Amino acid sequence: MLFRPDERDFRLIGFYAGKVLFGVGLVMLLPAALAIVLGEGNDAVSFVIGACLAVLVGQASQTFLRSPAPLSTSHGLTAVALSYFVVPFFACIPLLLSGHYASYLDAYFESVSAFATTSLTLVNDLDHLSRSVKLWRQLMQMQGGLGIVIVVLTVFAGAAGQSGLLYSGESGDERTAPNVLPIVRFVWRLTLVYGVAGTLALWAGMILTGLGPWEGLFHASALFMAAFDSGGFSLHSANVAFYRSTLVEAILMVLMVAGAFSFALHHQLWQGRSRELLRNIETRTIAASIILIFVLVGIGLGRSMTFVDFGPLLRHGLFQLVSAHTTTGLTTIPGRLLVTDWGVLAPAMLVTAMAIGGMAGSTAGGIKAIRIGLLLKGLRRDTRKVLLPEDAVIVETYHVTTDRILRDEQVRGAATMLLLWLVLYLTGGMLAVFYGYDVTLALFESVSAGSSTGLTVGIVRPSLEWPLKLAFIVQMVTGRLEFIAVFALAGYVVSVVRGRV
Amino acid sequence: MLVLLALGGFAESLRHPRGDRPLSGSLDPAAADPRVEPDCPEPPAREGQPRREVDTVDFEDVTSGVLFDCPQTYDHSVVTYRGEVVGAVLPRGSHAWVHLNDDAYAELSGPLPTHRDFRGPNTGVGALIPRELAEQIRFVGAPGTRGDVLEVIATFQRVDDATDEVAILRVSRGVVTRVGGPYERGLLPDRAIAAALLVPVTAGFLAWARRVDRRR
Repeated sequence: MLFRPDERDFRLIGFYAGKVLFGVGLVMLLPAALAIVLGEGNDAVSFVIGACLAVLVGQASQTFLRSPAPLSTSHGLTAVALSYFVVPFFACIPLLLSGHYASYLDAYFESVSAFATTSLTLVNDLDHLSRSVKLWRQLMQMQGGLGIVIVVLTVFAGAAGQSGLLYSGESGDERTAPNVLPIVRFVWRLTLVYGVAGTLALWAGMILTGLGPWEGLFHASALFMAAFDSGGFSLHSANVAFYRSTLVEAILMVLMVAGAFSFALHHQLWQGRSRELLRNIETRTIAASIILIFVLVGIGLGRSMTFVDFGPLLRHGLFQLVSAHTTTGLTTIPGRLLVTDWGVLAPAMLVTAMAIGGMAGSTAGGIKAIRIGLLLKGLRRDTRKVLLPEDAVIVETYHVTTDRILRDEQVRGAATMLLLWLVLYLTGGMLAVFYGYDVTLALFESVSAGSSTGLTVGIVRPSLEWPLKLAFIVQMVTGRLEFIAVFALAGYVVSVVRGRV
Repeated sequence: MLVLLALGGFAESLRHPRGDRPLSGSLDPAAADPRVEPDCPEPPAREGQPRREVDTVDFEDVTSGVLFDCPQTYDHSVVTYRGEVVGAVLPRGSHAWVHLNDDAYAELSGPLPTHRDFRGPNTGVGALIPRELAEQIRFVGAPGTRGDVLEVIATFQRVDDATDEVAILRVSRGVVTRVGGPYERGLLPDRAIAAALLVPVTAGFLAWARRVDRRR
């Protein structure tokens, strides 16, 4: 049966994508205000231009594409995917006009990287980039981490009746509650609480490290957005190493881990169910993974004699590992050293950590701990089936909020997604190898892009070949939306092309 | 698609002026392209093999690129290094941390967006400098400000024993070779005109759209 969308379908998709664009355009007024206060005239004007264009086109979509037809799952998925590709065209205008990006493609790449919470960057001369543009980079990450759909839904409650489909299209959450606004409001409340506490803690750390109060507050709020939203953009080229502070690094690790927790887990903890932390299959999987990978990272760093003392090994090894596993991308060492001074085993373990990623329904990317956990449970169940008598009844359970019985379709679903992720990682890697990059470096960068991490060994840079820039853009969005939404969009694109052929 | 193409063309037309022609000269190729194998005086040891003790000799005029490409070669060696102070001076008792950038924006082409000679990302090294040298710094590289350039004599520490910091310079002495200062970022008239036109158009369209919505 052929998929034949009609005008009504395209109107619906365009309508909701326009709503998201409108919302993002309004958010652009925040850095515009900062630019005016700081006297960054050109950037203030750039943000006004970007905001006007986004609001204009977004409102036009809503006015001319309005449709009474109900939103279906495919519409919701496609609208979300379309938003992630179209919105950056407008969001990147202030970046391009800042004068720090060599081309529109570079600015678009940066914008996609921000919304996908990747933090691979093509910026030139970051240390002289204006503060308002730096704030915009962080805000884009925040919108992407929380979900730009979520950001817009809470402002435009008129979408309440359709919000469930849009929410699940973006978050990958399998629930399709007719109205997820209570969930969205909880996410905002949680972000506010962590935001206040995290920013205050970082602010104290910044002042102790020697920054002035206002500069420290700016850095603190920016780094909070980078860490909690698993974004990873920093304000300086030296990244977190700029601050030379173990206190700041420790606070950031707490925020990165908090960002990698699912919002459902946060909700459980918020309601006082702290035992969920110990029983949840995802927290157990991530904890075991971090411990095992850290041991291997330590062995690798020890064998390559990168660190001979435990102190710096713990500090830098653990920070890089937590940053990789939570797919944040903040770093305390120059990326080049991963190639020239960290040996082979330690970077390979970082790749593994990035590939696994955080929890489903969090700001983190990657394959997700739940899928790894389900696959391991499935493996255990199948092994027990082989070892135990044939008439034995094998029931494997796992805990996510409640105890659940592991079913075959869940294991199959996890395996399918694992396969898709591996194909994503390998495709980007092979394309980079085609352009002459070493296969280990290519895989590192590809996994970093696909898992929305952003740690880099130097392949992604302003002089990167443009086909690879495009490939990484597609990887970042596909990884952020976990395939299905992008496949839905591809289905619509193919139908348009076939309809014209 | 047409809307997006028009958007791109419109944005391109509002970009900063090109400024002077790009300067000749090349960046350190190894720092720019990871496909280029670094040419280290001493090749790095393979994983699992003990690192060779490298004679700690003096090196002059090193760049951040060669330090990061060949950290084992330069570990504990005395080097001279020049870079623009960027970000902040972070005091630490009798010393202070600074970040010294030695990329093209520091001394060759100048900071963006005063031109469109794109030379890639910032490159630089963290340096722990004596308090007396820190007190001589007048300008720190920031938006709208070019930082002072320091020339330092320092020991490169792949891993600093005292602070556990990675790939830093422990400066024994240095001098400010160029004083920085603010640079011009005047308002571009075509951009201001574009904004002045877009704001009322957008406001008008929003008002019209709201009326249409109410009638529906």
